[in-house]
Amino acid sequence: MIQSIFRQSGELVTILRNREKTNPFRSLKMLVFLSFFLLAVGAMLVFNIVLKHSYTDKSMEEKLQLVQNQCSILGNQILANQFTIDTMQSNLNVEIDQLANVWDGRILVMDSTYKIVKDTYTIDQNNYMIYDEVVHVMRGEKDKNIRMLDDYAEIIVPIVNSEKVTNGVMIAMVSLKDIDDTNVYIARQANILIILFAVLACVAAFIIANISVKDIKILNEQILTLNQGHLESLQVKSRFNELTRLTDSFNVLLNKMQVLEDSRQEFVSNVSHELKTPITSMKVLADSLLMQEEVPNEVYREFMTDIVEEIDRENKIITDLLTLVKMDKKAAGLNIEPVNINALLELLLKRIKPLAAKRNIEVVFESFREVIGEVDEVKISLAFSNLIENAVKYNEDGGSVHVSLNADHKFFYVKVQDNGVGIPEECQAQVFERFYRVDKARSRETGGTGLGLAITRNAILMHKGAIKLYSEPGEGTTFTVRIPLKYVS
Amino acid sequence: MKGMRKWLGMILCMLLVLLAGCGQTGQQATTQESLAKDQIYLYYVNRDQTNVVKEKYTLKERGELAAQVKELVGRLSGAATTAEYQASVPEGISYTSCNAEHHHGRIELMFNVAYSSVDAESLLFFKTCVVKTLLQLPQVNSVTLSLTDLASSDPETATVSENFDQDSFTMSFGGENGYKQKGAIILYFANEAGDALKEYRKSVEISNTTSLDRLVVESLIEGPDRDGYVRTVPKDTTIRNISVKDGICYVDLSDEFYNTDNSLKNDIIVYSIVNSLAELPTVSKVQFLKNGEKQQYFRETMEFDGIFERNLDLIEEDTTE
Repeated sequence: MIQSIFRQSGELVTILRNREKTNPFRSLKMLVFLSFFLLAVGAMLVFNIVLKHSYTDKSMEEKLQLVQNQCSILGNQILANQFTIDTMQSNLNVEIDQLANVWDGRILVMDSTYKIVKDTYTIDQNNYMIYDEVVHVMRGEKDKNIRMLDDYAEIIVPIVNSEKVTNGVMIAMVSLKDIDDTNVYIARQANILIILFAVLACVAAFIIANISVKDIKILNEQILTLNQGHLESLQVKSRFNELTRLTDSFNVLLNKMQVLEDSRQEFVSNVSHELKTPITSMKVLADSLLMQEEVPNEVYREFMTDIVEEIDRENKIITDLLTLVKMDKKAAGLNIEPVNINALLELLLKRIKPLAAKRNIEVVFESFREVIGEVDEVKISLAFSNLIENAVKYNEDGGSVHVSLNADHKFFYVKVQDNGVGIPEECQAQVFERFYRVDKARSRETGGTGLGLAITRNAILMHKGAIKLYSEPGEGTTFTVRIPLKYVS
Repeated sequence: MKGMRKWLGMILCMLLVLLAGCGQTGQQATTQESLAKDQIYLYYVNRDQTNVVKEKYTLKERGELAAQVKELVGRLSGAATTAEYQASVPEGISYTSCNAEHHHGRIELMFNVAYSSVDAESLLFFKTCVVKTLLQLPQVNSVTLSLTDLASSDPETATVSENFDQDSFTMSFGGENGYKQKGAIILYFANEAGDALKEYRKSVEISNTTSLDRLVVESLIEGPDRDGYVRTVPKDTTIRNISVKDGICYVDLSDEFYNTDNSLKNDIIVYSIVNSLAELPTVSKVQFLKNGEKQQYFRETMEFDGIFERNLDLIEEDTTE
């Protein structure tokens, strides 16, 4: 019961976590869709509003200007008629009525005593006008007064004679309904269009979003298939440059992985083989001993010596392997200290002297200066000792080994030169590989594991150094190592 | 929960707006009603001399009209110029006398005016304030101002009289009022006895599409909605055509006008229309048509093809106090 609850709550947590992972607002598709859609709609709305305002403002401005002009003309005529308008034979009267009609509005004319001599509505005719703004205009305090209300505009203009004296005032009220109606009409059209285009934008946004992420989706599926082991490398070439580059990079990575995988397999196979070889020898020796009857002790002793040799060899191989594996981990920290390289090399040469002396091999150390380098003493010793050992091992009797040490302000250089058998050109590239031996037979004799140079190279690389090889078969081999004086992590 | 709060907030806002609106109209109502029995408004000129302002005032004189007039004119003249208002009767205009005989509630005031020292605005506001103040007296329906030019040497032309009633001044023009104007028209219906015409004032709303001549006749057809008046035109009459040209109004009415029985006298019926139309500033004469043609007789007895002018004799004398 409790188990099941825990199991359920565990699932719940997983489900919740999964749902969080698929937050829609973290989707590229959603981003593209929303951006496109909102931008499109936003742009349309702004455009619509700006245009509408422009139209409205311009239209009103023009209309008011037109009205003022007409008022001005009318004013002159009224002056000419000396403010007698509404009489029997008056054309002016008809004209004013018609004008008010055209404007869908109202016109009032006042003389200098504020009497309304003409009202197109009739109702206020012959009354006196009591209105602040009219007084202001009549007195010349303002040269006009314009008031805007919802559907109409009220314009008060003075009627001025040729001597700039105000003889009266005209009020024109014009309907703005036509501008309003046009506005409404345009607004309606615009709204329809906006809705239409919004829908189109939505669809387009959706399509674009899909296209953008489609290739990513395909890529994802391919990678999943890859994971399941059904593919060697990614095939799809996307229509987008970015994704093509991504695919290529991924393929490079895959390749690297493949190479690593291959080399791992090879390594495992090599290791098994190397480890098995001494054991096979031991078995052969032991079996042959057992098979014989009445074996004298000297024969036993001889065979035991051989078996011990094999055990030593096996031990060495295992030790070297462990060293290599530890270095490989890279988590292995480097113990960097300032080390006197001269002393280190001298010590290594001292150690090799007995082995060299046995075969009359001359060992020379040449140092141009005192070198103190920031290195890991153990690993560097290992690296150089391998080189020096090889120089002796792969040498003729009576040959020589020449070790030199130099430095500039950035690096120190160690050269290990021998005049031994040399390495054929076609093998030179492979010598640093694990378990690689140019001449298997010879190295077995000298007790080699095939791992020495691999270890050396690893150690040098860990110090961000470099190692180079020059060799002529029959003449000798020179290894040159360069290591930075100051350790750079 | 958040949604709920939003809705509540909106409802609250709307209520506040409504209350504010109501409050305003309420306030307006109270200022109208706050005049006590003997209180009227005195009209003065505002500080900028662009409009009139009013102040409450309690009449001291209660009895005679002439005395009240004198008191009010005195107040309107003597007011010192304060920060808010100026005297309505300016220097340059002096009150001489008044004639308060009850002719239809009309009183006449006489003033001497030195036109050279009075500008157009002062003159305007003087007329406005005096008339509007005096019209508040219950006995007064119209005010005639007779202004004597002190500078004139010719006695014939020195005095100019102008008649004013409550519709003579167009106030508070600026605003919605300007476009859709509330105004009043004067109609003449028959009195209850059916022997005279009685003046009937009707409030109307005018817009740019209103033609007043049509409105007058339509209102006559609609009939009175107050007691004491009798309709003159049959209620199912329709206007075939109506237009005004050169001061003559041509009225073409439907058959119902001619055929429906009407107990009123022909004079009363016809002149109710003529007098009502003649009240319009644009109309001085009326011509009747039937189907576009002149009718010779109205109801067989009255000559109908001529041009009619206003007949003041038929109008009942206003005997209201």
